[in-house]
Amino acid sequence: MTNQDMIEKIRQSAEYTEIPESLLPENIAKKCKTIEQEKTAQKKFGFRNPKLSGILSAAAIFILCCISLKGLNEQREKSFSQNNTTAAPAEAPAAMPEAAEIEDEEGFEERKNAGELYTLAGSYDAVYQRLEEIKTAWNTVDNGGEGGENEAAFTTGAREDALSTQKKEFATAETMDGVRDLAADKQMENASYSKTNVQTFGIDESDIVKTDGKYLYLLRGGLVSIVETGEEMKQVGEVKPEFGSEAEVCAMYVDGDKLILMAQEYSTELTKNKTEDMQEKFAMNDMLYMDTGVSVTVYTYDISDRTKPVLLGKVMQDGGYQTSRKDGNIVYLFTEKYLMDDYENAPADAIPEVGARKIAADCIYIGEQGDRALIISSISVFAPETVRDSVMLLDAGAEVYMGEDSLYLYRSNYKDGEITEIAKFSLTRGFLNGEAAASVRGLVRDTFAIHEKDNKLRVLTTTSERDFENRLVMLNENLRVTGTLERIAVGERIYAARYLGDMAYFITYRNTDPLFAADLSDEKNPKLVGELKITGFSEYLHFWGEDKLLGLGFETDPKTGEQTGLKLVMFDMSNPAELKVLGSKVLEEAHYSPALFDYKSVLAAPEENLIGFVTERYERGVRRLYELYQWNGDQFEKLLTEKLDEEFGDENYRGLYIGERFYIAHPEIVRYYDRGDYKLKQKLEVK
Amino acid sequence: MRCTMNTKLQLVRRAKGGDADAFAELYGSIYKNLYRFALYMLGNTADAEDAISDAVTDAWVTIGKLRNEEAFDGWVFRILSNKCKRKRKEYVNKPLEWSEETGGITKGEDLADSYHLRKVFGELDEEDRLIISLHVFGGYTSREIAEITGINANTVRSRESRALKKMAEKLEGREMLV
Repeated sequence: MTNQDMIEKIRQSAEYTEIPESLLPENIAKKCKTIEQEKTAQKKFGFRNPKLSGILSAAAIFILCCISLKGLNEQREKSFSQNNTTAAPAEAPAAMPEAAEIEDEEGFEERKNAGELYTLAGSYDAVYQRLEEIKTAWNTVDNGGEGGENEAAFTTGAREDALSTQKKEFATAETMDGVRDLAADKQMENASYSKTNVQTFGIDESDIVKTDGKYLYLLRGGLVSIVETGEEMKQVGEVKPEFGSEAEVCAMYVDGDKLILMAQEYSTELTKNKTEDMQEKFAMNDMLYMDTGVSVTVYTYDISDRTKPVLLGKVMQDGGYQTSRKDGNIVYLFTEKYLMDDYENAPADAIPEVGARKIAADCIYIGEQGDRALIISSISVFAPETVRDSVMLLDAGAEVYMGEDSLYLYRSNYKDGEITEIAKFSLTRGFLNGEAAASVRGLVRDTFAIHEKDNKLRVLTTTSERDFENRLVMLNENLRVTGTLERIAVGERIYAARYLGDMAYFITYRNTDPLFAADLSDEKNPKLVGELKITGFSEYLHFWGEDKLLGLGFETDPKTGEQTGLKLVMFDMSNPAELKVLGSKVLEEAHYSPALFDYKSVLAAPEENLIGFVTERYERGVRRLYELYQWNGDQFEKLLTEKLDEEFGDENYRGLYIGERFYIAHPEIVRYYDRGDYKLKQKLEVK
Repeated sequence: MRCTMNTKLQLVRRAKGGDADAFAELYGSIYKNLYRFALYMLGNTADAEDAISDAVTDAWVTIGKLRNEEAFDGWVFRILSNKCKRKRKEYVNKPLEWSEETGGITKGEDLADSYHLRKVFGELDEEDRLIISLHVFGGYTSREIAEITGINANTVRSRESRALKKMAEKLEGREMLV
């Protein structure tokens, strides 16, 4: 099948798509006219909250359910008896529960035992068996059976909380180096240059632009350019892993004089057709078959001479890049691979390789779901040719949260309502080991809604089965639930969250933006202690010093929900019971910012008083700006607005500072400014 | 038959002046593909409907500011792809979870084939899906896709080609099971 055939097939597959009535042009015309009338009535420019249409339906039905802090419990029964009081708009969600069947939420969690999520396979046969089950289930679907493969009857036996320890021995010298370097790494955090904005303080994440205070490292496609900063920027070096054209570098870390790159490579080889069946079925004369494999290689370079990087070592892992982290001198790589194709070729092919060896059977965990393997390896910066440890989870993929002490893998499961399943793995200098698992009601809707402190986990979840409602769950070291806060902000959902010390701060939204403060100091009894309503809503929160919180989101008209622009807001949380807004700024012409969903694109540096991000305006096509602000104690002051290059999209710009210089860096173009007057000093096109 | 020549440019100008019918006509020329695009990016009909509703509202309210009047279609696709990205942010699981229930395709001779194809499509990376959807439903060239997405044009080409090969391979593999 040629690519053009494939394109045609995709087009055909969509040909008979039924378009919802609300989207027919005549209905859109009506909608526009209504908006026009509202606009005229208001005599005010603005545009409707894009979230409103989704939330409006829920909000209208549950309009009376706005919960007061006192009434949390009384609210329980009330909210559903009010279903009938407001007529549902046409776009109401289809599946509204008929009766107010409130189940015992605590009982729900109890049913799922901790540690049941992933069990060790123990042998390759167990892996093959699971893949065979999945294949059978697929065939059932293929033959017109009901239900997807997720419902296939996979039985899971009794499981243990703690999974067996992997024992591997490493040279003491290496470990010592590791400890020393870790300390050095933590010290560097005080130096005056920007760091990648990360989820967990002290756990580094890859980004397309990095700096070490002297050089900029710019990642694009298959190479990294090194630019020396200073009075004049100079391109001094380039690091380009040696691979064929079918590869791209997808992650980059800088650690002193070492540069670590993760490159995704595709190996395509021509092989004979797999089976005679297939030749017959497709009457293929062409006996050759394209076999494509994907893998990620971790390259470690010595860059003590930036002009002449030297490869120190590399190690390869099967699967496509998912994410990575770096904790001190240990790099963690997460890849994903669907195993079925290889399994059908030959069962033994299904077992992925890491560091040129198949993952050992006692490092493989099996979950309940699909043929999607998540492979996690750790590699020390000091031993770039060796995999320190690796595990594989055969399941259906998971989101990654690495806290200060442990790794948490979580995923949504819709089997019995909206559930988040969380597995905890310990990380001891790069060694991964299963610890426990838990299921909590609701879905984790924000990257920052899950947080570990002192080896304990706090999770904010949202359910949308009936109306939106949110809960805060406190879990102990063994992921046992110790306390919950239920039915927070019914009718609204969590947009942003942050935890600081024993406090949680989070934003929910319907048509105003309540910032909640919860006191988590008693693990059995978390309490909501403060609430503040302002217009608009924040999608991203960042702590600003010890007692302030920066929010970035949208301003809205509270009456109509119309969005009137991006909004910066500074909250005062010095007294959580009396949250206050210290100041805010609405960027009326700005419609969108990648900062709303990609925290790495945000520069939020309270230590230097800098807040920077890209904005988009839907005019002249699309106009993109980099905007930089500072907080002067009362209000946000603009330091810099730079019009960005039309050809580069909006997502690959990073604002960063090195001492008295400010940079807007894109992998292909870097601008630098003097922080005294923020005048453009130099624009460097990276070759 | 209409007497006036409703060229696209005239329609855009009328829409900019607040003519909702002109706007709807412009929308009418691309809405099917907008919907398909959203559906293939999000994998379920309700979210696709939401995303378009939101995108169209934004487009209507801001069209007065559109300077490059010839760029209407690409501009709407750009707004829609932002909406889809924000929706995707709400999804906790990465791969697309198609189901026949929410897949939104109701007729056609090759329903089973379409179902398989969409499933395989859903297994692609989000970025690959974006590139292919922009090509198939938006009709954009790799250079235009590069402008919309910020991905290097060469990368757009190689990613697309790779993703399509991968799909073809999976599809052939899976069809064998039938």
